[in-house]
Amino acid sequence: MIYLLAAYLQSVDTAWGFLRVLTYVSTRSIAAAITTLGIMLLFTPRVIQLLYLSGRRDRNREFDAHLAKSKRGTPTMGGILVVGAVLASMLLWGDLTSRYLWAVVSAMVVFALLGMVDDLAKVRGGHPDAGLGRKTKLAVQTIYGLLLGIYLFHPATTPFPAAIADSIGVPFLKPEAYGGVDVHLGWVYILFAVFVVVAVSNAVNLIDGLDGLAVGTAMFPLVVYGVFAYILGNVRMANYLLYPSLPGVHELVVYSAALGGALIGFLWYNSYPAELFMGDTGSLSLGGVLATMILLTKQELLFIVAGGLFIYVNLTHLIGDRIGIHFLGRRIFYRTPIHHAYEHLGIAETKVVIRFWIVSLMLALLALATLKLR
Amino acid sequence: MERSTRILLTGGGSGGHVTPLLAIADALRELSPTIRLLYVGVRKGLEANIVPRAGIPLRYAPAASLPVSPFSPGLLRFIFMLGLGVLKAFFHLLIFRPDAIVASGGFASAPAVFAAKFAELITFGLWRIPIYMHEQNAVPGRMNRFAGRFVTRIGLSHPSAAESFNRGPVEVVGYPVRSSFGLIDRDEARKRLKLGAKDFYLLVFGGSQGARTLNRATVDALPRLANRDNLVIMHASGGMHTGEYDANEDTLARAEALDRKPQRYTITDYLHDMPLHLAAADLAVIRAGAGSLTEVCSAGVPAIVIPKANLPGDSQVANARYLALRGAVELIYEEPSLVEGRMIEAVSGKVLAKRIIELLENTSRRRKMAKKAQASVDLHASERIAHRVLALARRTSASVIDGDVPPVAAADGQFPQLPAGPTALRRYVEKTIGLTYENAFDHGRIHDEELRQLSDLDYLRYRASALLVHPVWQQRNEGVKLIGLLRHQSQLPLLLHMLTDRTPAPWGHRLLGGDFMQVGFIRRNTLAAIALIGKYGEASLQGVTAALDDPYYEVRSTAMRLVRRMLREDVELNPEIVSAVGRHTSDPKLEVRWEALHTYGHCGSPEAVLASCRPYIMATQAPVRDAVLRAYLALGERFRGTDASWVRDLERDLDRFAVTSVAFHPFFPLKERYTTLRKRLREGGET
Repeated sequence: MIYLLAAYLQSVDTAWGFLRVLTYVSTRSIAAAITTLGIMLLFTPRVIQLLYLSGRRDRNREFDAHLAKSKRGTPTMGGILVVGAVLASMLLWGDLTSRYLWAVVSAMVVFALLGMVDDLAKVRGGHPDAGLGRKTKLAVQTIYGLLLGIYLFHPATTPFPAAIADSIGVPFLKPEAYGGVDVHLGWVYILFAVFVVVAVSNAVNLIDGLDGLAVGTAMFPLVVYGVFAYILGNVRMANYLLYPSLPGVHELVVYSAALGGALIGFLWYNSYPAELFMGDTGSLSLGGVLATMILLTKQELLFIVAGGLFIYVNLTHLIGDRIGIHFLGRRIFYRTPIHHAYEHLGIAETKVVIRFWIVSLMLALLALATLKLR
Repeated sequence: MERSTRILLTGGGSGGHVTPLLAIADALRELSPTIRLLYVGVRKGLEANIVPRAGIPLRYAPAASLPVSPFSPGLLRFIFMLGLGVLKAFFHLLIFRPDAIVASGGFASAPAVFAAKFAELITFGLWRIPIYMHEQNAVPGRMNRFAGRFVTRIGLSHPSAAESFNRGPVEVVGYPVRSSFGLIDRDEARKRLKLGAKDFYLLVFGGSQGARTLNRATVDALPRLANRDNLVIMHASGGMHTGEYDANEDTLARAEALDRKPQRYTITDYLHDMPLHLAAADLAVIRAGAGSLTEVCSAGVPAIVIPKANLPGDSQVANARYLALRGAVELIYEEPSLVEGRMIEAVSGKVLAKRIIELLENTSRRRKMAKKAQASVDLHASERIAHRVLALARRTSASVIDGDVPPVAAADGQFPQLPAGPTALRRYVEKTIGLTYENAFDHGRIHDEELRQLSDLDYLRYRASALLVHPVWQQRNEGVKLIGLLRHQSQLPLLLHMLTDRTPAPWGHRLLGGDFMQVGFIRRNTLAAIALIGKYGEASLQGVTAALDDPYYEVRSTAMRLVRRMLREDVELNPEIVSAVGRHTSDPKLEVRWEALHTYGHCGSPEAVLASCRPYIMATQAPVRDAVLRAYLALGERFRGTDASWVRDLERDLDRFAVTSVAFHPFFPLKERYTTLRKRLREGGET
């Protein structure tokens, strides 16, 4: 809003020229981050109380029989706060005409709603299996993926330059514009989009199992994609680094900053021992956002590096749970999701979380290193 | 003078479907002497034998029973035979032109029923033959469940069968019995069979087809009954001969092989004059087919019933439980057991003999059972059904027909509802006893009072045993858990067999890393079941020894826990177990290693324990070091107060021990105090 206001005022009279500062991406990003951080710090305690009183508490399976260690009773659905804060901040600092922004905000909201329905069902049902069935969640994610894919593919609606709308980004590969090769998928791009959305949103959902884990491990890829968004939105920088230029995608920098600020604000309360969980509301929406950002910056395959930890957790879970426990009738890993296996091996929860953050950081840096390797 | 009513009877294949129709035929003839009857059945069925004897004209229409799996070659044969049968039956319908059809279910009734529907369809409803269907079991058979949708009226023997038919015209009418049962005078019958006043006449018969379990259990029980002089046994082994079991020959051979058996024991293949024998009998041992049950009950004979397990819908078990819960019969479940290397359903001769002797000596109980048995039979069923059928035939309502049939006696309560699926069943047991299977090792003994809170423990044990041999591993797994929770000791041999069974898994499983048919979880859970049952004989010890070297790591580590439990219960360990534990203190899998170290501390020699632990006093993984400390503590417990040289070695090791730990148990003072407060309030409120 402020962006539009500033832009309007400038066009009216050059006296408002100083407001140009407010239109820069960098200014808006920092402002957005501070805004969300502020909102989280201000409102969370009250919301925790409200959630507690209205009974929206976690009904998790006991991982350990100890009553003291039990996480039952901690308020969940903290994702609402994150989503709310980001929305408020975007209203204030975002360029509401940007298609990129709408895409990523819609992802956040849709998945947050999906997660909310699931959380509420679990709370009402009293045990963790009472939520929406796997198939229902999968169906909604697929439908969203289809819609997003079509939106990004179709020349009338896509925010991308038409020539590369259906291409995917391969690390180390120079795009055609710079003498290299573009990987065009044609309409298969839509299916690819569905795959990305489903895989990534479930990936984040799964990793939300220890205090602070999802927040920390998601933060680093978020920063990576924020950086890419900045570069790809800036024509000169994109040309210099030999990346396809996607004008307008820099709006995502503002968004990731806002989300980052909100996540840090959430971490203030979610670090061990957690006072608040994000619930499926938060983890699904985080995953949806990440998936959308991957597609919008056209750095899909980079996720194998930047989000390598997610892939590791999910792959081991797929193998250990579907193949091992349900088909073969034996455990393949000590426990899945894999963070519980490390706990089983005697490493405390807090240590596992921080080690995962370190790995995520390392992978993020590795991903950023590919910027210069073309 | 109206033309005489014509009724077509159909059903058969096995005796259970034929005899009710004969009873209905008798009643029909009584109500309407000019009635004309025709019976349509299959050539190979029992009807070929007994229907002509009853004076009813018999015609055939081929039929085959529906194959169990939908994609087998049997399906083609079924369709072909059915088609042929329907055509032939249609032909019979054209000639006989019945006013109504009475169907008793089973595949043999399919041709006539379908032919009638076919006729209705091709004449666009002009030629409609009303069909009266009767279901004899508490759980309806497949044919009846299917046909129930398009027959005109349905009559049931059991109220519980009503659940399977959700359409309208369903009525409980009872089970039709031929009136010859229950009419012969007891003394007269005993005189004819040359039985003395003090003689105890025991009748054993397994239905027209015979029953291997019944026959073998009876023969096995004989030695224990040998010293009863007044016992007279008539054992009808049945006319069954399949490739692997010939009822009569097998029974004769086994009986010959016995060294002790009762004086007056006769084997025959089929009893032709059942009403006579039942009238004279003091006790019967039978299967739970609806026919045999009703015959025995209407004759007022107390019975021990051994239902055939795992029939579709578990129909025999349902019939038997219905009567057992009313105190009309005694029930023994057949369960799978390993006999001569093969898995068959069996009842132990010892158990059967014990029940027989109990009833032999308890006259008042037998009298009560007889009374309850007769009360459970509705002698007016045939008449009632005949009325309904005639009403259908004459297109009038039943009340117009002469006769005043008393209404069906209200059923006194239903069975306690137990969950159907295995997982739900296990959760129900866990909730009632107050113990989850995951905590099996931490829990103490399961007490008898806890088991008594379960409704129908015998039935639950039967279900658990049946699950043990299910083709799907997840169900076998639930069976193992249930056996443990229900403390079903007699299945311990089968559990041990599953633990050590090395039959390989299907190739698909092996490709992905599977090992045996009895998958890892099953083997692991048998160990917990052994702990819950709590009996440690020679076989159990051998099983545990094998488990300690099992390829799957969880089995090894669970076996370690089991050894600790056994030590707590003062079981003598053999040296193989101790050395196996010691060997696995260097197991490649961490979980096994730390369990082994802990267990070795409880059973190994101090020097050996210290030697095993020494490499791990600075291990990176905290649980391993924790296990070392536990082992040391165990040594301390076992050798309290000694001052041997190894104590100093231990102290020296402790000096070098790495005490840092990355594993901790959180302690939340606030939560602790809150919980204590709540507990105090709850307890305070109760006093």
